[in-house]
Amino acid sequence: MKSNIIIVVIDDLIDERSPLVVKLNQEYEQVSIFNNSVEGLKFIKDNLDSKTIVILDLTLSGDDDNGHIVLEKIRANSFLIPVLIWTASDEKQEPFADFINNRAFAFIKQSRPVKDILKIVNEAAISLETDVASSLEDWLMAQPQTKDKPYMVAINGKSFTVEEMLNEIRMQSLIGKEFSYKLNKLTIDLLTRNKEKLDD
Amino acid sequence: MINTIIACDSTDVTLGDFFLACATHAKSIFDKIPIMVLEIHSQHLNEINIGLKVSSLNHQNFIFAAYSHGGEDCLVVGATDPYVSNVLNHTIFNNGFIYTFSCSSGKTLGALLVNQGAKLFIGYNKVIYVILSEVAIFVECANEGLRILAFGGSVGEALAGMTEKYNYYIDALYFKDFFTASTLMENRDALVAHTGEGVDRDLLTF
Repeated sequence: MKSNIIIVVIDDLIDERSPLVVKLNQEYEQVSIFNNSVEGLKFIKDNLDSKTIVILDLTLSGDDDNGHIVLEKIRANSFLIPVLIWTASDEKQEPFADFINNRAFAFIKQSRPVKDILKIVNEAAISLETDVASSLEDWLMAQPQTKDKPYMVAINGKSFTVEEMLNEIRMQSLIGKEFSYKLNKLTIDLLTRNKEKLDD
Repeated sequence: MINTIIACDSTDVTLGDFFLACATHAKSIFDKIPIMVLEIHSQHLNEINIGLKVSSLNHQNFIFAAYSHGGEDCLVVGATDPYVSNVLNHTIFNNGFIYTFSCSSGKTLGALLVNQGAKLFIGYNKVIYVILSEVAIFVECANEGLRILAFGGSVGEALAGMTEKYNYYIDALYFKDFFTASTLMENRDALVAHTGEGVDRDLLTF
């Protein structure tokens, strides 16, 4: 069965016939290709409610932003989207500090065999499916509460709507990370009080 | 005779309804036993009123239950104005059994009030949260220790009962609403009690 994770490829030189795209289409229900970053970013923003992996070309043609800037723009919307930087250039020549800060999932040479690249995409998919923050994002999106009404209020006066909570989680802010931490802690609490057991 | 004060910021913008629900629930507990209750709500929650009322009761044991926002060294009304704090009136709570559902006041204020003569402070040492779709559960958990104390239970029993109540709802909820369950767990873990040095919590009752 194909995965319902959306694969977004932002690359000015790729099309449906590319071996990587052919392979991705065999494993993923939707592979969306964008030859410029503006359309790619718009698609990502419009689909924040879906699980998405981005394969981002580092060097886009013409006046288009380079991969560093595009990654930064993706991170302005969510840190939960795995972004695989894909490049023909030498990684040793490339500044990478911002890739770490903006949590790029991987840095892939385009010259690598398609099966290797696919393996990394699949690792990103597993990470996305098992990440606590992503699960929390899914759960919050399914909440029936009106999104602009406070859902959770701290007894210091600070309140959060579901929409604001989603944003904190996507931006992986301190409070967003705390939400995830609480869930991990709950799991440990239930295990230590023998309310749940780990599967063999 | 009045020997219990309920301080409630019932007109607070974000949580006034919740604080009022806590106060109403607390009152329903005291309705069942011979304890007279004086309520002080938002517009009267200030240093002067608290001073007047508490000073008239502190010659013997009394309960001071507070439902409002708080900070490490204060309880506040309207989320900003202290009505109990480390500088305003921390010395007047002799013989007080102070019970709060407010953020962080268990961190500094609780120990300070007990050092100045209060017999007990039960509160929370971190920022605590309420999920507005489950107010009734949060109210019940917030007041469980007060209920146990009011019915003659010891401080030790009140704390154990609160933990039990939180666990009951955590276990009942985690499968269908893990976020609320995790919030209750965090509140449970922020729960803190202060008593005088050497006091046996299993013997201390109201």
